[in-house]
Amino acid sequence: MKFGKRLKQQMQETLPGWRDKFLSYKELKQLVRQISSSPTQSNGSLGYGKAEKEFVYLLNNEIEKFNAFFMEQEEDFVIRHKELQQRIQRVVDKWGQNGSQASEANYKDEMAKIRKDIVDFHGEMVLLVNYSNVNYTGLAKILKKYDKRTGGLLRLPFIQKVLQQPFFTTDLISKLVKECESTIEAVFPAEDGKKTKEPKQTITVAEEGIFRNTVAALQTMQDIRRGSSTYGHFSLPPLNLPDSDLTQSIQLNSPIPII
Amino acid sequence: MEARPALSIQRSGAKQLSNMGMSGALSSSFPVLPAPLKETFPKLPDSQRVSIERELVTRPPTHARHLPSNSGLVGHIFSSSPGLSSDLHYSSLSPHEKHSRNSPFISQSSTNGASLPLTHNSHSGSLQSTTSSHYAKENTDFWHTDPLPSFLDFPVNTSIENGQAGSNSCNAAIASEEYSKWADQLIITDDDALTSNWTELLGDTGVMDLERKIAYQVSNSSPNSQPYQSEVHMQLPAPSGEIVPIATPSSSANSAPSKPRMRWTPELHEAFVEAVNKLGGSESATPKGVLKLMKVEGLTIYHVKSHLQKYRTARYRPDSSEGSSEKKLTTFEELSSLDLKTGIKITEALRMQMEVQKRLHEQLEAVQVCEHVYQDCPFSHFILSCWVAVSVIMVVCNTIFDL
Repeated sequence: MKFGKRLKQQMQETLPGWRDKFLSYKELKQLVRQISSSPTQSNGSLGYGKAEKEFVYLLNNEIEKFNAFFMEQEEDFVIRHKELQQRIQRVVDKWGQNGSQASEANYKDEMAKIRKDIVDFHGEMVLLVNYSNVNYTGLAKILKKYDKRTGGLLRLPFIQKVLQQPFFTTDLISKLVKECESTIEAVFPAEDGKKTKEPKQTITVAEEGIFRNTVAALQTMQDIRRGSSTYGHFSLPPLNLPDSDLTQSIQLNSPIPII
Repeated sequence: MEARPALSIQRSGAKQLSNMGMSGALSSSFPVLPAPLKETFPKLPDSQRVSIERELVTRPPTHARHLPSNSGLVGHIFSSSPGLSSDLHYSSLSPHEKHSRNSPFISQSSTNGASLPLTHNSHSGSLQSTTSSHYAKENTDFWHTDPLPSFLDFPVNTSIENGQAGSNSCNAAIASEEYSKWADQLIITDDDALTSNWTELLGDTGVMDLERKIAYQVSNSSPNSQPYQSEVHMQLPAPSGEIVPIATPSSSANSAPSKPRMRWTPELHEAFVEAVNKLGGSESATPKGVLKLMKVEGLTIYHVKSHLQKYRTARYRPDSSEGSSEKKLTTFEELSSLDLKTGIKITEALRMQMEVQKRLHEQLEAVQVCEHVYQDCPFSHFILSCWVAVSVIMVVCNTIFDL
């Protein structure tokens, strides 16, 4: 499947507030087509056509857009990360075994809420890393197209610049993700007995949400890595990839209409 | 826009390559290509640098638009300071480096030949003449011509602080001696263009209040204290209009023009939380107070204000991050877990969700590393180009010696 289509699917499946924050891949592609179709100046001057100017302008704007959105989300995550930890501490202190008002029912109740929130939180952060990845890939592809079509050398310096951009440097988010995982493992230890109960039937993820988005993203990633060029339906055929057993058991309830 | 010079340099490199032909001339063209690239690279991160610089000084968007001719100058200032952006990473800033932070700034500008002696006390005189001449230059149609006194008479109570009006708080808002001295000279100058610039510069209401406060204080000229040193100090270069990291036309045309972007790290957030707690919690803490306590160079009240807002939201609506959309999602999540045909309990659903998320993250990390190292490593490109150059030279030498 072509990247453009994949990107569209991702955008469709993503959290509603994120949809307009992705790369305007189609627009950029159109500009590249415009540039390559109009002949370059024959006098050898360094003049730039209108389309080229637009192209570079749009690229820079897109990068600004990514950065702004990414850093905003990152800031939120930093805050929520700390908050969740404090929340857990408060619940443990209050309702836990040795808490001030030890109460198992309350404790379990509160912990269940926290568990849900923290798992969603984890998911959102991973989705942000995915967001960064998808947009980076798009940029790399469009720059490659540009260079190929126009003979320019825009790609290398631009990609260098992109690599330094805040939206690409996802180290902090990854760190938070790992910390989140260890918190979850510590607070909600996996119960070994139930682990063997892998559901055989497929589970349908009906509604919009973080889970659906991560499933979609994961399936897309697997697709990319598999190098498959055909992609018609979200339920994957059996593969020998290690993740296949997991994603095989999850299915998004309707194929995403490709606009 | 900042990319244009880069493009032109690249193009010249490309054109030279194509003109000379790829084969024999490759070795000679290589010295050409990296050089423009070197020029290009420091310029290219301009947008990032500009945005970091924008964070340094809180400036309203109108300011950006009204000084378009500065963009070239500003770009020039920053083009040879590639290390500057790393210096300006906020999380590692120390509170006591008042001027040291500005000096790389300024020394860069002076090396670049920009006439901006905006530094310490001794220079404030020359600064004043520079700025006033600069303002005279910049005096175009859209400057207002409000008289000076009315400007200074603006009410001081701001929206930024919660009800802390009055001259006492204003006194506290004054930063350093240098600032008031310099600003005094600025204001006393009775230069219409200069004063009118203030009203124009302070177009944005949010920043305007703060600026009014500062200007009001300047007129009182009571230079005491510590508290807003870092805050106002950052405002110091702003009115000069030259060092201000004005958004280049391309970025100022963005949807969120010069909204100062700050990258909050957990450490910085820790400091923030500590300050908030000292002030009695998120509800009673004020941005001004928090800023004061945090003592982080480069942090503006604007940053603190928006962060405090986010913080309050996160605390009192723990299951929603950015308002209603998140809340809807959690409801959907609940529904979807109830919808599961197999009737798996919620914990199982969550466990599976975690699995998917973990896998996705693993894959993303792997890809990230690949992209960074393999595809676009400049070093590998450099090595490759060196290798090609050497082999071409060898071929040429062989040819020569064979003749």
